[in-house]
Amino acid sequence: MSRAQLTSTVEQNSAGAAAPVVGGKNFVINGGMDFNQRGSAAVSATNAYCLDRWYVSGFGSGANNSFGQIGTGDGPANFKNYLRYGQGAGTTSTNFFLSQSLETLNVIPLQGKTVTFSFWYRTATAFTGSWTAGIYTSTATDSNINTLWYYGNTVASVSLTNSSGWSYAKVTGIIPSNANSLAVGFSSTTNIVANATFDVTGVQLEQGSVATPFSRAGGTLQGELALCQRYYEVSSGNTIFSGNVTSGVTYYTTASFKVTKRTSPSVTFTSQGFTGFASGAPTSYQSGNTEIWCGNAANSTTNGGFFQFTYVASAEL
Amino acid sequence: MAIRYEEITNEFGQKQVKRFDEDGTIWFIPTDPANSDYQAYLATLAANSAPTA
Repeated sequence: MSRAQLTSTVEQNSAGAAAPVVGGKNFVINGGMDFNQRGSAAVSATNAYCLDRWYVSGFGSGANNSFGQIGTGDGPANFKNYLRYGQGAGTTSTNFFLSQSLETLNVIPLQGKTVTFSFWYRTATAFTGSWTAGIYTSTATDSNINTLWYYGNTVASVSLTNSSGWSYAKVTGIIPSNANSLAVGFSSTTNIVANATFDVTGVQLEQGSVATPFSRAGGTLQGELALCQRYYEVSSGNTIFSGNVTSGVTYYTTASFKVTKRTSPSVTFTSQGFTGFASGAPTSYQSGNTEIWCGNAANSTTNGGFFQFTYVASAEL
Repeated sequence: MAIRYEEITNEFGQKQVKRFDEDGTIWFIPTDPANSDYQAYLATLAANSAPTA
């Protein structure tokens, strides 16, 4: 079949050219809320990442509030997962901020361009105050503007009405030519109701003035996970040093990251087991974009000594 | 207890920052200007050394 014939067939079948579902169209990573490497069912703190790439910068006064990944199959059509903000029982917090910042390398292609921000949301329990979703920018480089965007430059925003079922919303704006950081976010600052929930998924930021069907930034599940791991990675299995060891001598091992990091990451270790070494995690000696190098001092002389550990590497904004 | 920092130099002469979180987690932070944890450490240093009115 020739290209012309194929194009004609597509147009006949779909009554017009369909927007392609391709990697790179969507500038929001994990917009389908598919990955939650931090693993906890919910986050209950301010200024912390929850699902991959999504940052909670306001949490109100309620100690029982939470953010988590829901994958029970009651998302909007074509989505399994969504992110839920849950207001604790008996609490009526007054601040809620959830957003994702883009690194400068991903903002530069959007400078001076028209962009459209779209998503699905649901408020199963009505809120007394309005919610806002918007696009926000900063001239700073590689900035996590989550904590500042509420007071920063608003490119465009839309007020969300309460909706017990899934609703689709979108907003279009022009990114300033001097913008180096950009965030898309959701906020509510007044009278959040006890036990209320705010659900969101299918978040997309794309060039142009038209909201097209959702596409994962990475194109595929594996591609999306790799994009997430550019910023944050939990090691799988255990990294291990093993050998005959002498008390007082430090032994080293290197672990390669699954994905090259945005920048040299901060790392933390968890000890999984040891013989010939003291309890506690190893020490990091160097952390580059691609690997970590760590060591541990033996505290006894023995054959078959080892230390075994997992690590977390964070190169988040 | 608040987050605590410690600046260290290992036996290879490399400088690092250790961050002790309230939950007991210890982070090793590279002295990389693009690392946001290092930026936060520098901001803490600057805030602590700022003159008081």
